[in-house]
Amino acid sequence: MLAPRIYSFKKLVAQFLLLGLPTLLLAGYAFELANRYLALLQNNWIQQTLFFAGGMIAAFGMFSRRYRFIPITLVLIGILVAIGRVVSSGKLGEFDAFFWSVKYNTAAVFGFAGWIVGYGFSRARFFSIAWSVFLLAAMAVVIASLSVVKTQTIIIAFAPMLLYTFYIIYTSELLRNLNEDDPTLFWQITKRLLGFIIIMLLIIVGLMKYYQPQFEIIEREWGAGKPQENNNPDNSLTRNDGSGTTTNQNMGLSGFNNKANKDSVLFVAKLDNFFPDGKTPNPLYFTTDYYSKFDSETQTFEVDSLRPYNDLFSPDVSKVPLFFTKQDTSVLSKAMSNKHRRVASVEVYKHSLSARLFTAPTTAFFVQPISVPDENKNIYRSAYRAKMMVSDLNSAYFVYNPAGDQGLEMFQEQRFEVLRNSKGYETVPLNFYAYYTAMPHGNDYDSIRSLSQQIVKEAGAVSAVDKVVAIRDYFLRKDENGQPTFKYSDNPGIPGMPSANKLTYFLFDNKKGYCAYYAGATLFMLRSLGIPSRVATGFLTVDRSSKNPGWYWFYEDQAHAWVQVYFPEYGWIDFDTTVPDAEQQQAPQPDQTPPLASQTAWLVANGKMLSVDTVKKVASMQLEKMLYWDQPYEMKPTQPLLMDVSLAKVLHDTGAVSIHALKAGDNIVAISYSTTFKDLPPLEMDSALSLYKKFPQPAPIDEIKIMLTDEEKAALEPKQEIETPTDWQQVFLNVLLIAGIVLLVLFSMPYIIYRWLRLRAGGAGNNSQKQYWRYMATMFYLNQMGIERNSQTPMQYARLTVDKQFGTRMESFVQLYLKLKYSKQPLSEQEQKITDQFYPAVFATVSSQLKTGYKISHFLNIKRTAQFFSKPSLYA
Amino acid sequence: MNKSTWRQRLSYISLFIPVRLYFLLFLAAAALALWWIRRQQPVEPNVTGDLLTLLVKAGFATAFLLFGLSILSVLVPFLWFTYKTKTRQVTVNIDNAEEASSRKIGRRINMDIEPLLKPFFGFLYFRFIYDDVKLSPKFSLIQKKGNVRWFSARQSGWYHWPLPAIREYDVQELVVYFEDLFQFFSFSMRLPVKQSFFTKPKSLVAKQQPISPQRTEEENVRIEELKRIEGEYLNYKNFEDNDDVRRIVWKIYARNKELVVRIPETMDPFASHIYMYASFFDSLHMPDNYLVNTRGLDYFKNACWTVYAQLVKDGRMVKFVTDQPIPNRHFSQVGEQVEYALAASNWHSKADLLSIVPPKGHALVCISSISAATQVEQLLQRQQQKTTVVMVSLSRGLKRNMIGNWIRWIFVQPGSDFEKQGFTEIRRYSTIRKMKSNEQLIWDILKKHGVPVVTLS
Repeated sequence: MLAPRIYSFKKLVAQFLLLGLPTLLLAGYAFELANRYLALLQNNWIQQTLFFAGGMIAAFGMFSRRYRFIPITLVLIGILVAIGRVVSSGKLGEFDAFFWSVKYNTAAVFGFAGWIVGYGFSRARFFSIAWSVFLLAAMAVVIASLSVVKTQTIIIAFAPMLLYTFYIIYTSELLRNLNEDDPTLFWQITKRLLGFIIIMLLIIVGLMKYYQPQFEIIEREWGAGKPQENNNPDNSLTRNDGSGTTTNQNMGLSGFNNKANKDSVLFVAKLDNFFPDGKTPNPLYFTTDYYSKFDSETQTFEVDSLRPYNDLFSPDVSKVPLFFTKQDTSVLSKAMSNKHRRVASVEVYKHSLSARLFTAPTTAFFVQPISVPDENKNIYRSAYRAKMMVSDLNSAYFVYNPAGDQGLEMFQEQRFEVLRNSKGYETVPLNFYAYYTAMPHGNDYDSIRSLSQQIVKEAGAVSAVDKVVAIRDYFLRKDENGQPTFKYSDNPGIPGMPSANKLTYFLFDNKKGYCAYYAGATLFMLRSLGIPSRVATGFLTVDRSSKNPGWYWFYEDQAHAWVQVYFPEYGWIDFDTTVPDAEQQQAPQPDQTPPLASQTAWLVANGKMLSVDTVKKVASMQLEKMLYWDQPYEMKPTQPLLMDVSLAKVLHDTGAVSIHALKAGDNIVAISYSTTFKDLPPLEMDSALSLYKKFPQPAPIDEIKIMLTDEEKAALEPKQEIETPTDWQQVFLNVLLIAGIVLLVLFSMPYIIYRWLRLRAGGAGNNSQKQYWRYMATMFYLNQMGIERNSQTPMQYARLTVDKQFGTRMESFVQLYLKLKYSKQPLSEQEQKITDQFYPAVFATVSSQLKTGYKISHFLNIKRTAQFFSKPSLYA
Repeated sequence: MNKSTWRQRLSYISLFIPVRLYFLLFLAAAALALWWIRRQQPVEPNVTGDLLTLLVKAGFATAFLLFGLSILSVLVPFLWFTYKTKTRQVTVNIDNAEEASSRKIGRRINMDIEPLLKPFFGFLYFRFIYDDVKLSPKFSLIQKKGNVRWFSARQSGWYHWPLPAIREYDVQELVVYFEDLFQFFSFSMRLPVKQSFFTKPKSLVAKQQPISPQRTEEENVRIEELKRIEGEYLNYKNFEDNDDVRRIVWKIYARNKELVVRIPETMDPFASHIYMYASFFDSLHMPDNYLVNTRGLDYFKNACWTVYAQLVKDGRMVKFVTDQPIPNRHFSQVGEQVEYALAASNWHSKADLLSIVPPKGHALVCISSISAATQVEQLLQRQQQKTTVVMVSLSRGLKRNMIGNWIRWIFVQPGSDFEKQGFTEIRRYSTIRKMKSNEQLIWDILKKHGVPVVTLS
C-alpha cells in the first residue's frame, strides 16, 4: 500500500541535502554541547546524532509520499513503546535488559525527535519558520548567559546561527515552490543558494562589523570584571526563588572557569592593615558574598539575603557620588564581635572589575568612591575607599593552608591559642546558632557526620578551633605512598557551588576538586559538629609585594571560596581548607607600580556656582552640603563660599576643561587637599556653620567637578540607549495605532470625497462648474451605492438604471448637464429650476429606498471609489 | 461543482494582498520568540540583559536588511512591469497546449511574455485564472534548452499543468507574481489572455464484442474503378459541353453513335455506419455530487472514447452524436472532433435518452448508471429499432474496495480535491447507494432483453 508521491525523488534528495544536512550538523554540535554541559559520563553525541539522522531520513522518505502524520506517528509511538517493553522486560537477563533499555530509550528519543523534524521540513510549512526562529532565540539566550563575555566568541557563536535561521527559512520555501519538471532543477537550486549565501554573508559580516563596537562596550563594561558571574538561573546551582535569595553576587571560584586569565588584573588594593610592628603588611581575604543557606530540596548552597545577623555590607559603588560616603554601622553589631577588633581601611583601584561591585575584607561598613589619579586613569577605571572592622586574629597567613610550612604553622598556632579561650556557643543567640549550623538529614549527610566525628575523635579535638584544624588536617593527609589523598583539580564540571551529592562524591570517592568543593565539604563537616559556619566567596589575597608594602594585586584566578567560622566574641574568622595545587604553583606575578596614592580630600563642598572671576582666579559658590574630614555636614541656611581656584583643575564628565567652562548656576563639587584644612580638624561640638566660619576666605580649592543634571547626563551618554531594551510592546501598540488610523482614513475616504464633492457643488460660483460638481457628486454617490454604470452612457444610465429603479428624474438633469457642457449655452430659468429640483433631492430619494446597513457597507467599499476614479482600460 | 474550496478562496484573496501567509507566520514566530526572550531577560541590569538586547537587535537588523533588500529588488521590476502593462506594451503568447508526455496527466503549456524582467533576488511565478473563478496552481516557467538568457526582458518557457479532469478549460487571465527572496511578499499583476483547450479522454481496456454496422449512409466518394454494368443506360447521361471528354463511353458510341458519359456514383448503398449516441442525461439529479461529477464523469467519457476508438481502429465508420450543444470548433480530424465533444460534455437534465435516439434503425447507445432505467426499458422495447448498449457502471470508476479505502484514508491523505474519496463526502453516501441500485436495475433490464452489451474491464 504505497501512497502516491507528493514530490519527486529529486526533490526529496534536495530536501535532505539542503535542509537535513545543515540541521544534522547543528544537532550534532548541540548534542555535543549538551553532553558536556550535563557532564554525562559518556559523550555519545555521534551516536545520538546518528539516531536523530535515522529518524529524520525515515520521516523524509515517508512524508515525501502522501502519508498522514498523526496516525502514522501514533502507530510509530505504539511500536516504539511495545519494543521498549520487550527490551526492558528482562528476558535478556537483568543486566543486559537495563543496558539495552537505556540504549534503546536513547535511540527512540533521538530517533523520534529526528522524525518530528523530518516531518516538519517535508510537510509543515510553519515548522521551518518556528524551528529556526526559536532556535535563534534560544541560541541568543544561551550566548547571552554564557560566562565568557568576549566579542569574538559571541560573534563566532551567533553569526552561524543567524545564517542558519535565514538559510532554513529561505531554502524550505524555495524547495516548496520549485517546479519539479525542470530538468535543471539542481542547477537552479545551486545557483540560487549560492547567490543567497553570498548576500547573507555580506549582510551578516557587515552587520557584525557594525555591532562590534557595541559588543565591545558590553565586553568592557561587564567582561573581565565579573568573568564568572552566572546569571542564568537554570544553569546556576544556586536557586533564585524570588524569596530574597539572589544569585547575582555569585562570584567566581577558582577552577570555576578554566579559561580564567591569569595575567588579567581585576583590581589593585592598598590595605592599611599591618602587624603590630607597623611595618609587616598583614593581608586579608576580600569578601564579596556569603553562601549561608543550604536548600535541601535542590541540594544546593544559596546566597540568602535574608540571613539572620546579616553583616554583609554590599553597596552598589557606582551609585554613590564621588567622594560622598555610604555607611552602614548596623552590620558591626550584627557581626557580634568585640574582642581583637579594630578599624582598617582599604583603597581599591578597579581595572576590569565591574564598577558596581564592592569587595573588601570582612565586616566592611563604609565606602567612599574616590577619584583615580590622572596618571593612572588609563589603567584604572574607578576607585573607592572602604573601612572595615577587622579582627586582629584574621590574616591571610592565618587563613592559608600551611601545607607543611613551619613558620606559618607557628604563627597560626599562636592564634589558635587565643581562640581556644573563646566561650562556648551557649551564649550565642539561638536563631543565629540554628541557622548557621543547619544541616539536613539523609544518607549522604549522615555519612559526612560520621566522617567528621571520626576525624575529631582521631585528633582528640575538644575546642571548636581544634576541630576546625582537625578537619583542615584531614584534607592534608597523605596515603601510605606519601601522596596526598586530596588533590586540587580544576574539575571541568558545572561551575558554581557544588551540590550535596557532588560533595559526597568528592569526599568519599573522587577526592579531587577546587576551592568550592573544599569549602562546601568543610562547611558540612563543621556544621555537623555544631560549629556555626558559612562559605565566603571573594578573592584570595597574595602578598607579593616587597617594594610597596600594603599593596596587593588581584588577578582573575584569585577568585576564591573559603569557610568562615564564628567564634563567640571574636566574630567570623576565615579558614581556608583548600589544598595547594600541586601541579600549578602560583607563579609570583611581577609587581607593577601601584597607583599614586591619592591625596586625602579634607573638604568636599557641594553647591551651586555663583560667580567666577577668571582673571583673579577666584570663584564663589553657594555651599549646600559638605564633607569635612569624612564627616558629612548639611549647611542650613546655605552660605556663599569664596574659593581660590588658582590651582584648581576643573573637571567635566568628558574630562578636564578650562576654568571658563564654569558657569553660574552649575551644580559643582569643590575638593580641597590643602593642608590648610588638614590643620583644622573638626571638633566634636563643631556644627556646619561653625566650621564654615573657621574656613579661610577664599578657601584653597584643588579640584572642581561640574556635576551634570540627569538630562545632561542622558544627552552625553548615547550608550545608555543601548542598555535600555526597546519596549516592543509599545512599538507594537504604536504600529497598531498607526495602522488603525490609516485604516480609518482609508475607509472614511469615500465619505470624505462625497462630502468634498458636495461642498464643491455648493460653493461653485459659475453655473456650469456648479452643474459639473453636482453631476460628479450624484454619480459618485450612485456609484458608491452599488448602482453600476458599467458601459452605459450617462443618459442610458440615468434613464435605464437610476430613474427606473428609484423614480428620480435624473435623465432630464443629465440632459441639461450635457447641454451645458457641450453647447456652452446658459440654461433657461425653467431648466435651472429643474436642476435645482433634482440636485439635493436625489440623495434623499435614493437614500430613502435603500437599507441603512446596505448603505453603510457600500459606502465603506474603497474598491468602488477606486473604480470610480480609474479610467477604463483595455486590460480592465 | 464550481464551489471553490477555502484554499482557493484564500489564493484568490491573495491576488490583492502583497503579503504572503509565510510572512505572517514568520511575524508570529518572531513575536512569540521575542516574548519568550523578554521573559528570559533578567530584571536587574546585567550582562545577560545587555547582550540579549544587542543580539536581538542584531537579529532584527539582519532581518530588516534582508527583507528590505529583497523587497527593493522585487519592487523595481514590478513597477516597471506595471508601467509597461498600463501603457499596453506587454505581449503574452500562450501556445496552443500540446499534449504532455503520456506518463503524466495534464497539459504542457508554452508561454512567452515580453517585456518582463526577473527580479534579481527574487522569483517570478504565474497563475492562470480559468473558468471565471478557478485558479491554477502557482507555477514557475521552465526555460527551454538553449533558450536560457541572462538579463533578458523576455520570459519564455513551459509548464506542465496537471489537469486531471477531462473537460474544456477556458483561460481568461494570467497573474504574474513578483516574489522576494524569502517569498514573504508577493506583488501581483493581472493580464487578460484568451486561450482555451481541452484534455482528451483516454482509452480504457474494452472487452469488445463484434458490433455490426447498422446503418447505411450516403457517401460522397466517387467510385474510381469502372464497373461493368449490364442493362439499360441507367448510369449514363448524354454528353454536355462541360463534361470531361475523357469520360465519354466509347463503347456505347461504337454501338449506337451516341455520346454518353458515365454518371459518377454517389450512392454507397451498403450498411457502413455505426451511429453512436452518448447519453449524459442525469435522471438521479446529482449535479452537486462531487464524486459523480469528477471521477464518474471522466470515467464515462473515457468509456465512450474507448468504444469509439476501438470501432474506428477496426475500420468502422462511426458517427458520434452528442446529446447537448457543444461550442462550434473546427477540427481537421473527425477523431479530434469527437474528443472535443466528449471533453466539453457534462451531465445534464435536458435531452433524455429517448429524445436523442431516433425511433427507427440501429443505434449504439452509451448509457451510464445515472441514466433513467425506465427509458432504457422503453428504448429496448421499440419495435423498429435494434440497439447495442454500452453500459458504463460508474461505480467502477469510483473506488470499489470500501473497507480497504477506509484504512487507506486513515493513513494516506487524498491528493488533490479531484482524488478525494467517498469518506470526505460521507453525506453523499446515500446518493451513491441510490446510483448503485439504479445501476443494478439497468443491468437487470439489459439481461431481461438480452441485448448485446459492451462491457469495459
